[in-house]
Amino acid sequence: MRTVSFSDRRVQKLLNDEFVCTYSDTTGDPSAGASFAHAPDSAPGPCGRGAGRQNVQTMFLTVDNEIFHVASGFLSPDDLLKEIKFAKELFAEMQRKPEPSEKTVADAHRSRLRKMGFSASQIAASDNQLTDMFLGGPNPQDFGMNLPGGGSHFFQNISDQRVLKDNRFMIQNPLATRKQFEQNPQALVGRNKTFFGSHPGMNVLSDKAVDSFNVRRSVRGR
Amino acid sequence: MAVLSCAGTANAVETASASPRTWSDQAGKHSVRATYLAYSEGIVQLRKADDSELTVPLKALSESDQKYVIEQLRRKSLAKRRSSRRVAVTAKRNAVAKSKEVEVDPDSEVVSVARVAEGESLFGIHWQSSPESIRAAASADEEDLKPIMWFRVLGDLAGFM
Repeated sequence: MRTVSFSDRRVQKLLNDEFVCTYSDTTGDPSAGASFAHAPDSAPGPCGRGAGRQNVQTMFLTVDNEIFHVASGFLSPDDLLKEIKFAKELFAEMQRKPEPSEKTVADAHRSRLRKMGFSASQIAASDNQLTDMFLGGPNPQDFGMNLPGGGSHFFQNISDQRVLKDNRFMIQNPLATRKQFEQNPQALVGRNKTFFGSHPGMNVLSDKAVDSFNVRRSVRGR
Repeated sequence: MAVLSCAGTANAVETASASPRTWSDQAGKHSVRATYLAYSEGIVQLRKADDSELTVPLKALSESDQKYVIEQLRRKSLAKRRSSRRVAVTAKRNAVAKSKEVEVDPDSEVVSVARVAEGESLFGIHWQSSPESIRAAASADEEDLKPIMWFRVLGDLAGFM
């Protein structure tokens, strides 16, 4: 995301002007997945919305470290812009409304999912391990592949389900603190160990050199 | 060496710790003996025996030279990670010691240590790392609080990830 999405000027302007940005390395965290290791200027491989959800999460917090929005996995510049704008508007709404912000956060995410076309029963459904496997598994669309016939629809459904799960997490955990989240990140990213690494096929380095990279594994994944 | 250009005023961003070696271009037609100094944004910085400095695009180097540069970056990344762990352990120890005297806000504990320097711009984004600086920046204007964007990522934002 750093070479594609954070390098987008629209994203940079919005983040630098309207947000305070920070980051943390999840290496060794039980919730972390696994990936190839990419150098800072490695050419990015194709990624679909929400791919590698155990490897990256973009989270939005209040000054009191309360989480009010989250988007897990890879986000294209356009997708990231949408999430940033949603977070900006929601934060402004939280400042304006006199009612408890937990309700504002949950309502905003519920309303967002309804506008996206999800039914009330889909929004209210609970997650399970099978869903986690489904969402963390390989999706041809993550790699820029579109299958003919019903295949595309099936795999588009994976991306949609990833969006559903992120927003549902906020409905169920509005304003969870950063510390609470870090005690159980699996509630968002699932408990299955997944591997996702976009292959820098267009990189200046040969495939042989790429293969010599260490495959990064979390402590539990070893 | 045609592909290498002089860059006498270039600032080294890493300290040289490697030994002199022979560097070649992709075609193997040109070579130079020099020490690896630094790498930044696709450019490798080398120092020759006469102390003059050269810069060369990573792409222009032979495959083995590219591998060598990657290995240097990997080692640097590992060293930074070990150093950061030491910082985190020290901070936690200090927090424990402090807690014996005063009650510490659990949310201010060092949970993870970002490796980007305070206020550093990387990929066009200004990053804050310490809980104190994040809070200060987010609440600088009490009438207009700023939200925080927290990027959790597997790897080092400034290095390999």
